[in-house]
Amino acid sequence: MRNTERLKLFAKISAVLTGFNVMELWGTSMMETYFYWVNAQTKGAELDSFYAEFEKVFTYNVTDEAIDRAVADSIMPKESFGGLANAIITLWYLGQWTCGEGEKAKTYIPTPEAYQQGLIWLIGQTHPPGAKQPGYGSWATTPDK
Amino acid sequence: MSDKKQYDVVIVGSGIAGAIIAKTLTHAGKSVLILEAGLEQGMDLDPTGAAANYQNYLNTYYTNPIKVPNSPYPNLKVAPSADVIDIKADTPYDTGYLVQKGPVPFASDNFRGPGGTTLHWLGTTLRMLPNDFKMKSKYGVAVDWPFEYETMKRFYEMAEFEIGVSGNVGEQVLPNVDKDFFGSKYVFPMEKIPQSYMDGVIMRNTDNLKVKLNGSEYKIRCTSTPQGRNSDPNIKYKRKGVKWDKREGALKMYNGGERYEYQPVPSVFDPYQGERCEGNASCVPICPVQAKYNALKTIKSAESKNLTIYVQSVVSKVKLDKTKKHITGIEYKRYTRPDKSEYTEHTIEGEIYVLAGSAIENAKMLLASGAANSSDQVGRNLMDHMVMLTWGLTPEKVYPYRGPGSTTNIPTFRDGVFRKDHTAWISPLDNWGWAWPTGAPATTLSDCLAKGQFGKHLRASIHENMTRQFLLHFECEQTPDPNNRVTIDEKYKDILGNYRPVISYNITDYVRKAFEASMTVSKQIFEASGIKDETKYNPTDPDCVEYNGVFYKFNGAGHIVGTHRMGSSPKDSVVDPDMRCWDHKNLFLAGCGNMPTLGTSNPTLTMAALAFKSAEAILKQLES
Repeated sequence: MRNTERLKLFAKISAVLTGFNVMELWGTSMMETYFYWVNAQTKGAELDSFYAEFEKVFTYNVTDEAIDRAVADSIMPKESFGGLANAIITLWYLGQWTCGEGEKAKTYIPTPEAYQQGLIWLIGQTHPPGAKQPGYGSWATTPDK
Repeated sequence: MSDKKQYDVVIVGSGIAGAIIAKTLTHAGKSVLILEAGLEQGMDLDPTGAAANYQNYLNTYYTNPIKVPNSPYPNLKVAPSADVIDIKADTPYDTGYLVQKGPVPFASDNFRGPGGTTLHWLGTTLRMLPNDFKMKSKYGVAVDWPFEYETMKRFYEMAEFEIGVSGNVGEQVLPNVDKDFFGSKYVFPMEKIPQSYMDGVIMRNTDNLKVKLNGSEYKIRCTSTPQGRNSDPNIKYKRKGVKWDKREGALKMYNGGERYEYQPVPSVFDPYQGERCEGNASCVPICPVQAKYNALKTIKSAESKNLTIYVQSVVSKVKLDKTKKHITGIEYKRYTRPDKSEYTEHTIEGEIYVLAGSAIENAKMLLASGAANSSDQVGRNLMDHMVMLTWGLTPEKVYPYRGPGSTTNIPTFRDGVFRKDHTAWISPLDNWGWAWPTGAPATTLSDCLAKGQFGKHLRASIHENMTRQFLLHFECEQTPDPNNRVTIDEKYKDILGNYRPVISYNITDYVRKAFEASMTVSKQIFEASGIKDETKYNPTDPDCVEYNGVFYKFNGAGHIVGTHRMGSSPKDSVVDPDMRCWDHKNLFLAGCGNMPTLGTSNPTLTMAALAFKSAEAILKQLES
């Protein structure tokens, strides 16, 4: 599969995993950075089978519910694809990527933008500390107003 | 090699204490040299250079996965900083900059570099309470200060001007304090920083709540917290500066004219940035717009023609004359590469010397020099606030992770007769969720992922949890203990051959009892608001200590205090009430190391006030 097609698939996969739609994810400006980051950080064979499994999920399931069920069954279990799905969610949510395990684990934030575009801050109805500041006194009211 | 140039005063360190003394003296016409251990670019106050350097700090912060207080700043091999990421549960160890002998690891850090630890301070600016100055005579514990609160009052006013405090005087309801504490007409330079939405929700059930402690009943009060970050100027505030009145031999505050309005001090890199807090919610470790005060602002406003700054100059010791009564110079090592053990050695001379390198570094320099220690108190009585954290989930959404770190505090237990039995504490309400105790929201995510959640379900779970995270602090006052100390040892040196601090440290039962007491108060506050307590301490974690069979985890507050204490007698103190060494008339010590006790206020404001006090004494001495 060519990178252009794979990138489209990566966007679709990211949307299912993060709960944000493809347009929202492109809007962070991180899509291509993360696509190439995941390519570079993941073993080729494992990555190929991960994409292949997702293609299957999208081919055989139409509704969101069915896709979610299939993802829960075949993608999310920890033993599947070396925990790649969780790593991609963490990359989108926090801008972080961890290599290795236990005491050898090392966590990276690929770029300053990766941290600033962390989706978790949107979920908490706030902003990443130190960036996208909401202005003087904004903290004194609910973020719903 | 000896530099020929002479200075009236040589100051070691460019943090808030050194900066205030330098500014005050240079405006009084004295020539001042500052020796700063950190990198040259950190001291660049030209707008372009300062902006570039600060952007580097910010990018380092963004890409550092562990966002501890020192995370944006360079940690230099030639002048290392203590760092909380080095803390380990099992002592002794020497794997960080501090050599931790234990039994409990010292839990705080500081930044050795231009502007010092004000780059990452939170910005809380509370005055100490009158009874904090007389713990021995009032409660029979610790020691008294050599003067009372009244002596400090005018210096506190100078410090509040210099830092630029935002706050509401009328809302400061403090225990055992009368209306003269501030004075009836006193206002802060700027209006109070708005209290957070979360504060309002918590205060509904907490302000005026009656709680039981040790068989007595206390009414909890919540008050807005004065802070060193810019808000709207208070039009009633008329003070315009501090100047040396030669005739009276005193520092005086002077007012502007009728139309004068206080101007918030902007960032050092852009006059149109930082004039008001923008809600970055990252005061610790870095305010991106510098609306929060840092000491570079004070250095920038010093009289530049009288100020020389040598950067990348690490002081190793002060030189004594044959009588040991007089300091004759300061020895320092100048480096060009922060990761190499290459340096040139220099000595610099002045009339008067000031060590302002932080409580730990000051003690280290004095011990290395065999100076100022006839009392055997140098390095002893190391203190910090023991921060016990309690956290839970609120029944309604409170939307944390917004605004300055803390905008409201509970001052109720800052003073009272209970201080005979256990320490006092202050309880700031924390606006940043469970970030400190649990590493949330990263751990909020990992907890959900561990349950196999993803997609919309994951979003919803995180939202429900993250918007209800409430955190309360109990910052307990540590009292002086001669065995809590900084020492030096030939075995432990950095790559320039300077000593690394060796720390011995423990927590007395007087403090541990306060953990037990504050936990009973925490439970009552949580219950009144229907907060589901999620507090968990792991006995194998660093700084988890036992009292009455229960383990309590404390954190350091970054309030490093007490290693060269001030007193009224050379027998049991290092400096006199002007912070002049009893042993050496021309050596002054600046910073929190002077404080005989800590009280329950974050110590920066008091340190700044003390810096003005000793600047006045230095000027008197220079002119006598």
